[in-house]
Amino acid sequence: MRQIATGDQAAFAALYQALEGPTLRFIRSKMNDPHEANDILHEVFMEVWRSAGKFEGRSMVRTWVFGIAYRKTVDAFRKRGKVETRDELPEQIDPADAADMTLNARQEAVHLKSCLNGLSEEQRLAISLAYFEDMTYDEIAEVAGVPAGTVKSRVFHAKKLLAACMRSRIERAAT
Amino acid sequence: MTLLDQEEIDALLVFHANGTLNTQEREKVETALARDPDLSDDLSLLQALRAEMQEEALPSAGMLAQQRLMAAVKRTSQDVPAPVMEPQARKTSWPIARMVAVLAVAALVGQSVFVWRGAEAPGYELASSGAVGDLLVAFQPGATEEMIRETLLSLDLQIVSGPSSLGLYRLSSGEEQIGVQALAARNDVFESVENASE
Repeated sequence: MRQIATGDQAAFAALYQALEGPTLRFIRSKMNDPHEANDILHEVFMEVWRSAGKFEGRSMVRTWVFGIAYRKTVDAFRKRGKVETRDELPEQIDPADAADMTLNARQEAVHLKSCLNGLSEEQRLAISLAYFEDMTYDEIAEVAGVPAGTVKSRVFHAKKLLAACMRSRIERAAT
Repeated sequence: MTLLDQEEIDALLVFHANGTLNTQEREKVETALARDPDLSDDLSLLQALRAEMQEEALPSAGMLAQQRLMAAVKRTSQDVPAPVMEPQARKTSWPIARMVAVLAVAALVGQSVFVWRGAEAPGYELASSGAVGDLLVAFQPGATEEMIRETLLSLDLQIVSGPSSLGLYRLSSGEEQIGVQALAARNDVFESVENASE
C-alpha cells in the first residue's frame, strides 16, 4: 500500500489482480446486475488508488478494500432508492421448493445454497465473508462498520435459520 | 449453560468452522461440542456450507475492465482534468448528452427505447421486446451524435440500454452479427468494445 500511495502503478495492478475476484464476488453477493457490479468494482479500486495514502495499516488490506466495496454497494442501493436496512429476522426459511429426493452431497449443496439465499442481507453478508473469505468476526465487523457483537448476533441467527432450513429439507426428502 | 452462553457458543461455532477463533474461544467451543451432539451436527452443516462456498470459482470483470481501470489511474497520475471513465465527468462532458436525453424521455413515456432501424423498419421497439445487448461499448469523448448515429446505422446496431454509471452502452446487432474487432476498428467512435456476455 505504501508503494501505491507513492503512485506505483505496477503495485496497484498487482493489488488489483490479487483482490479483483474476491472483491467482485463480494459485490455480486449484494448486487444482481453483473455490469453494475463491475462498475462498482471500478469505483472501489479508483478509491483505493486515490486513498492509498490514508491506509494506516491497522487492518488487513483486504478488509480495508472490502470495507470500501461495502460502502460503495450501499451507496449504489441508496442512489436507486433501494436502501437495504433489513436486519429483522425471518421467522423461518421456506423449504417448500425442496424436491423429494434422498440427500447426497450434491443435493445437500443445493439445499445449503437455497437456505443461504433465505437469510437476510446482513446475515448472508456475514456468512459469505466468513466462508468465502475466511474472515474473523472482527474483520467482518470492520467491513460492515458494526460492532463485533452485532456480527456475532447476526451469525447466531443465521446459523439457527440455516440449521432449521436444512433439517426441514432433510425431513421432506426422507418422506 | 445460560441462554447467553448458548448464543455465544452458536455464534462462535460459525467461526470454528472457518478456523479463525483464538485459542480460548476454540477451547470453549470444543468443550460445548463434547457435551452436545446437536452442536456437532450443526458444525458438520456449517463445514459443508463452507466447503461448498470455497469450491465456487472466483468471478472476473475481464481484461478490458482492468485496462480501463489502469487507463483511468494513468490519467489521474498525469493530472489530466476530467478523466474519461469517472462517472460524473462522463455524465456532464459527453457530446452525446442529447442522445441520452432522447433515450430517457422515450423510457419515461412508454418504458421503451427509441431505436432507429431505417426507413423500412418500425421506428421504436419496446425495451422488453427481448432484445438483449450483445456488445458493451464506451463512445469516444470526442464522438459527436452524428458520428455515433451514422456508425450505428451503417452497422445495423441499436442501443438497447445505457449509459451505465461508467458511461457504457449495450448494443444489439441486427441480422448480421457484428464482431468486437469490427467495432474496435472504428476507434474514432468507440473507446472500448467488448462482448456483453464477458
